[in-house]
Parts: sequence; C-alpha cells; structure tokens
Amino acid sequence: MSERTGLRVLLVEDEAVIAFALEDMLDELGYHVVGPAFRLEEALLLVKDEAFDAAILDVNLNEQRSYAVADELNRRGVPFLFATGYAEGGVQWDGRAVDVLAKPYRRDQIDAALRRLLS
Amino acid sequence: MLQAVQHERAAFLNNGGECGRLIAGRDWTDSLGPVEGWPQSLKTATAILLRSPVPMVMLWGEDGIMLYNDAYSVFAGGRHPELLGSKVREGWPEVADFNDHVMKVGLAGGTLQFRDQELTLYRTGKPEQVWMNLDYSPVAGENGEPAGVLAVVIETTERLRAEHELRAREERLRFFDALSEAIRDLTRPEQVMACTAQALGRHLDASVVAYADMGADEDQMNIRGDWAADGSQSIVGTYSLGAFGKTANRELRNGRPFITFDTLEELGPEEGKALLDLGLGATVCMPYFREGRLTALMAVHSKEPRQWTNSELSLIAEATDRSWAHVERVRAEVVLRESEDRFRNMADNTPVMMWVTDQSGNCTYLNRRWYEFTGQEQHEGEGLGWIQAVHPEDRPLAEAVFLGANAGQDDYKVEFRLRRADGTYRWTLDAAAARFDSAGKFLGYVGSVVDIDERREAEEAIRNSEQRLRLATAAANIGTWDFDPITGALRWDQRCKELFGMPPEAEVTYELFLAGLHPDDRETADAAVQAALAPGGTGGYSVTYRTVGLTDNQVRSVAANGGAVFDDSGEEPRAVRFIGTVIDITDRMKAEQHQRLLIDELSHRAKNLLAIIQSVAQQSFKGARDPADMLRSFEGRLGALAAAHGVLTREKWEAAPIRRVICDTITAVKSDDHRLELDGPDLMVPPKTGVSLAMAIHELVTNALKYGSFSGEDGRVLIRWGVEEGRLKLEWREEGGPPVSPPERRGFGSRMIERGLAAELDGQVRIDFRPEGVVCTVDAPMPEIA
Repeated sequence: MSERTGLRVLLVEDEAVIAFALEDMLDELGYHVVGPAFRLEEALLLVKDEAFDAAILDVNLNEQRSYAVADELNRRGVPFLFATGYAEGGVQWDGRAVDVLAKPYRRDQIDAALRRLLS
Repeated sequence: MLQAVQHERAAFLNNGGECGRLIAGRDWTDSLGPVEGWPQSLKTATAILLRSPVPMVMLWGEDGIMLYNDAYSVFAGGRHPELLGSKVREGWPEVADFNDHVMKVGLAGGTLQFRDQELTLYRTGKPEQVWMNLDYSPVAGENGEPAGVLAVVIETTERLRAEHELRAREERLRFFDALSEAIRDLTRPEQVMACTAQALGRHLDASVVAYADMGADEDQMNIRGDWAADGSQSIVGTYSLGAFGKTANRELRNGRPFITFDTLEELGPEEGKALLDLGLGATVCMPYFREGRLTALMAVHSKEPRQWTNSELSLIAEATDRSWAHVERVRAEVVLRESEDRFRNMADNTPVMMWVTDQSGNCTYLNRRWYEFTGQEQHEGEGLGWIQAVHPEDRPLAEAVFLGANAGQDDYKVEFRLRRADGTYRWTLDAAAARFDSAGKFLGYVGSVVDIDERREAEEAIRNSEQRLRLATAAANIGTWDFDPITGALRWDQRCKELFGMPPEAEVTYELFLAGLHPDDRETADAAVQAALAPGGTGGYSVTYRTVGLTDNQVRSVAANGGAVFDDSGEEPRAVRFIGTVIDITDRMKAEQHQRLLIDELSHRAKNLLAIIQSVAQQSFKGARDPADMLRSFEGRLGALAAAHGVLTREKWEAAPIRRVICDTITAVKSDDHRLELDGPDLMVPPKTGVSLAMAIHELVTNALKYGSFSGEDGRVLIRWGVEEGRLKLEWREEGGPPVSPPERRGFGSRMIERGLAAELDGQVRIDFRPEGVVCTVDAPMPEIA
C-alpha cells in the first residue's frame, strides 16, 4: 500500500454517489484522488491543468462520451481505464486497447486494475 | 315386126304387166316350150294371174316352173326377174322342202292353205323373217288332170311384226318387272349383278352372261361373276380389255355397246381371238359409264353366231343400266348407313350430350348421353320435346336463342340449366353449328350440351381462392416473384417492385435485382439464389437483405422466401421455375434494433443503479456506528432512490417534476405532511437531476427528523423554489425546531447535498446550520431537459 501513497489518480464520474464511493475506496487504497470530475468540460480542464499518474474514466457523462478525455490522456501517455455500466461493446473508443471495468465494481477489482495500470 | 308376131302368138300375155312382157320375151325352149305352143289351160291360167292385183304364182308341171304376176314380183324382191320361169325348188332353195310338199299335194289334186306361215327368205341376200297367208290350189290341164298349182301369196309380215313387237314389249315389261322384284331387296352389288345376269341369260337363252368392273387404269377388267347355261363355261377372271381387239376397245371406250353377230366372220381369227378362245361366237357387251369414265360392263354371249334383234339389244342395254343404277344406289345406301352407324356409335359413346335438328328446327336425334342425363324416354326429346328438360326459367331464353339462330342459320351458344334424371338442375352449355349440304342448302344443326356446373363451381372456387390470396398477400404486404431459370424471364408483382423502389410498370431482370440490393448484401443474396437453383439441392431459399430503392434511394429490409421447382425427367434434375415471396421487414428490423437498444439501456441503468446502491451501501456502512442505525440509514436512502425511480417511471423517464420528487421523497420517511409547506411552480428537471434532488431531500428530511424541526412537535419545513433570471432557486428552510448547532463532522448527507447536488446541477448548494433552523439553498442554471 505504501508504495502507492501519493500517486495521483484522476476520477471522472458523473454519478455523484458513485464518485464519492470510488473516492473513498481510492483514498483507503492510499491514492490521491484528483477530481472527481462530474462533467466532460470539468474533466477536460483537469486533464490539461493537473498532473496525475492514472485515470478512471466513466464512459458516459450525462449523455456525452468521455473519449475526448481518453484521447488527451493517451496523448500524454497517462494510463487509464474505462468504467462503464454498458456491456463491453459499449466502449467504442478507437484509441489503443484499454481495460474496461464493468459497473458495479468491487474494491479489489479497482485495486487490481490500478496495479496493472501502474506497474 | 317380130314383136307384133309375138304378140300375135301370145295374145293372152297382152295387158299382163311387166311380168307379161317378161314371159313373152323369155326363151322357154328348155322348159315349157314356145309360148304360142302352150296348152290352152296354161294360157288361160296365166292370163288370169297376170291380170290379178293379188300376188299370185303358178307352179307348172312336175318341176313347178314359176309364172307370177307383178304383185308377186314385189314379194320376190331381189330374186325377180331371174325367179320368173325357174323351178320352184331351185328358185326358193331355202324353202325347197316346203314347196316340194306343196307340189306333191297340189299335183295330186289337193289344196293347201297356210295362215301366217313363217319363213326365212333371202330375198335381198340377207336372211329375213317373213310371214304370209298361202293358198294353194291345183290347175287342171288339157286332160283335166292337175298340171300345176296356183298359189295366192299375201304377206302378213307387217301385221305380224307389229303383233310381235307388242308381245315383245309386254315380255320386256314382264322381264323388267320380274328383274326389279328379284333385285329389290338385294343389298350387295354382286347379288344384284348375279341376279341380273341370270335373268338376262334365261330370258335371252344366252350361253354366258357376265358382269365386270373396270380397274382404275381403265384396262383391267374384273369379271366378278357370271351366269352360264348348261354346257357353257364360266368366264370369271381378270382380263385386259385391250386384249379384246381394237373394235371392242373403240366402241366400249366411246360408250357404245360392242356387238358381234358372228365373231369369227366379223372380226376374223386374229382380232376375235380373245372372244373365240372364250367360246363366244356372238356377243353383246354393254358399257356403263359413271362420271365420264368406263367403270363396268355387262355382257351377254352366245356360243354360236347369233342374230341379236334390236329389242334384245335394247333389253340388254336397259337391264345393264338398271342393274348398275341399283348397285350404285345400294352402294350409296350402304355408305350412308355406315356413315349413319358410325355417327350414332360415336354420338352415343361420346361423354357429352349431342343432338341433331332438321331444317325446320325439329330435333331428329339425341344421343344416349342425353337420355341418360335427363332421364327422358327414348325419342321423348325429339321434335321440341327437349325443351321440357330445360329449367322453366331458362326455357324462354333457350327457345328464343334456338329459334333466332334457325332463322339466321347461324351457329350459336346458350347456357341453361338442364334437369337431371334425379330432378336436380345443372348448368349446361349448349353449342350448335349449322349444317349445310354440298350445294349449300341449310340442313339444320348439330349441337352438343356440356355440363358446366362443376366448371362454374371450379371457376368460382378459383376466383375465391385467388381473391383470398390477393387479400392475404395485400394484408400481409407480401410481394411475389417468379423466375424462369431457363429463359431468365423474371416477373415481379407491384409490391415486389415497391420494395426495390421501382414503379409498377418497370421491367425487371435478374441483373436489375442484384443492382437493387445493398452492396453489402449482394453477394449473400446471389449465393442464396444459386444454391436454391443448384441441381441436387433442396431448392429452398430463405434470405434477408437490404434493398436500396432504384428510384427513391430508400433502404428497406426485405425477407425473401421461396423455392425452386425441378424437372426430374432428364439425367440431372434441372430447375425450371423459381418462385417465392418478399416481405418488407424494415419496421420489424427497426423495432428489433430499438428493442435491442432498450435492453442495452435497461441493462446499463440496472448496472448503474446497482453501482449507485453499492456506493450508497459503502458510505452508509462506514464508521463505528450502531449497525442497526446504519441499516436504517441505508434502507432510508434506498427508499429515496425508489421514490425517485417511481416518479421517473410514471414520467417515462423523460423528466422529473420537482414537486412530485420532493413530496414523494419526504412521504417515504414521514407520512403526515401538515408541517411541510411546498411552494413553487411546476418545474421539470432531467431524470438524473431528479434522482440527485431526491437523495439530497432525503438527507435533509432525515437530518430534520433526527435533529431539526421535524424532531419536535412544532417545527415546520418550508420548501420554496422558482426560476429567477433563468436560474433555478430552491430553498429548504426549517422553523420552530430545537436550536441547531453545526455538526461535528460532515457526513454522507452533507457530501451528497453540497457536492453531489451541486455537481449535478453545476451550481452552488449551501447548507446553513443556523440556530433557528437549517437552511439549504440551491442556485443553479435551470437544467435543460434533453
């Protein structure tokens, strides 16, 4: 746990309840949460202004897709994963292959996914 | 001088006519001696006969020296004048015996008298049948003894001939009567001819009577039969007419009878050979012409030469004509009867009813089928009886059409109901054609009656079936297609064309079909067609494809089903027809797509909701509080979520009415609401905002119940909202509760309200824990509903 202390993780999630729960989980896992960004514009701003080590992106942000955020993260070489309630085909980002975390997810799933991202 | 002397010497010859002068001029030295020396009795008798107008001859002396008058000289014909002074037995050699008898009787003093004595004389060189009355009486000489015989000769040939002819005519009539009677009932030509031959042979006392017909080459002569008298041979056989010599051929081929009285004499041994070889000394051969052609012969033959009389010849000619005419008639009758029999046989065994009428419109014949069908008695339908079997309502029409057609001699057709033997009526079609003879004379009609009841029913059934099919295909919007793989001909109905965006009048080909398919589906559809047509396959065809309208460019989804029909007669089955249907499944495809979307969305929402619940649970069960308390918090929050979902479901997840959301959320935890005051317009917010609002209100109510104005008896909660300058303003204000102090720790509720709802609304949300009561304010842009 200690080795991850202070690693910054961007959280993009439009559902506040979920964002708060994820925020708590990451906090407990020792990460420093950036965000959560509830909206696309908010997320894009954070991506530009902040520095972080990884990101968890909800695909669907109030009927908008978070792909623009993904593009930017990809461009900057920041590892990230998608979290979505849609079936796997629901992610139609045409960048590189990215892990997709299906909602609802458990703490250990988040943990493992972030470990993979940051290893 | 000499003449005068002679006259002087024989004055008894004076005025004795030509014969008198001939006697006077003749030299009598070798017989009676010089005239002047004749005995007086001779002179006297001579003088008398010379002056008599009655034909008389005197036969003088033993030799019967003939002395006759002018009247007799006419009778003597060509023998006069040589006959004068000749010996009677030499002068008439053909009747020498007769005259010998006369001389003997007469010189013996007797007389002879003959009435209509028949003799054959050769007065002109040819034999001649004559009849005469003869009176012989002796003439006394000088001594009173008979010295000569005086004969009075009166020819009765004319009279007798007339009598004979009359008799011959009667005989002839009798002959033909008998012949007609004999052949009347004979039907076969050979019988008729045999009977005629026999009658002729017997009547004419002939040797052979034969009948023959000519071959098509007009030379071959087939003697079919003959009659032969006792002692004569039959000549039945096949001969060449040409072999009978030029005379026979010339005569017969020109329609004239060929006659010989004496074959050898007239034709000679060479030309007459064929006849003579058959032993025919005399023949009468009668030709029979039909349609300008020698077709038959009837021949009467005699072994010996024979003097055929005219009446015999005409009898043979007439018998020939009559018998052949009879044969012709019988033959025609046989042909007619056979034709009639054939017609009846055919008519009676034909499966349709048939009838015949005459020129006056009377029915003369109805076939067996008619009587079986109608149950009428045999012949009952004849005349106008048939009309009785027609349905009474149809009779006027049937009758009018029939009579009208008769008047114009036109062909006609009429439909009427005809009564069957069982009393039921069937629709029938009566079709008739006018009959004419070879001269164009109207003879009546021949017609047929066909039961068309089943056909009518079948036609009706087909019509109904087609209508049903049309309705069904129209109702189901099914298009049909029909492809001939041999010729490549393709037929589409209008609906099929519509599915390809083509006008109804468009011509279609297989290439056009492929061109009308969506490019992505072209290969699949073509492969499905080829598979259906492949020999050895099932012929089945079931494929869906998209079409791109050729004229409207519209994309449609089509389900095509069909099958190939194979011809198995060849070595390898061959597809000869390929038919099927098309259905527009565009709407169905859209619906399916929509349904898939809905399911995906539902799944997404469910998962999202589960994620929310999970998050709520995670935050509700945090910290070291009483587990029962934590469970209550969790249940309350789920209740708020459920209330919000209930409202959204009622609103079809399109929008959430603020009042309803607030009201239902509060009611979920607190039933009496008289201490709750809601004041605001009917505003709608997006569904997700509605859920966040419900969660926030829930936290406020829970807090109010625990610590705020709802915890005591008198506290109230006032909720006001509205839109001010495009911004949503909402205020939660508690009054009359116990004094409020800010919480030691901000928990789930504050977080949900201040951060969660603010983030959701993209605005500011503040909670003031004022001592007089909690106040929560929302100031955010009025959310737009998608």
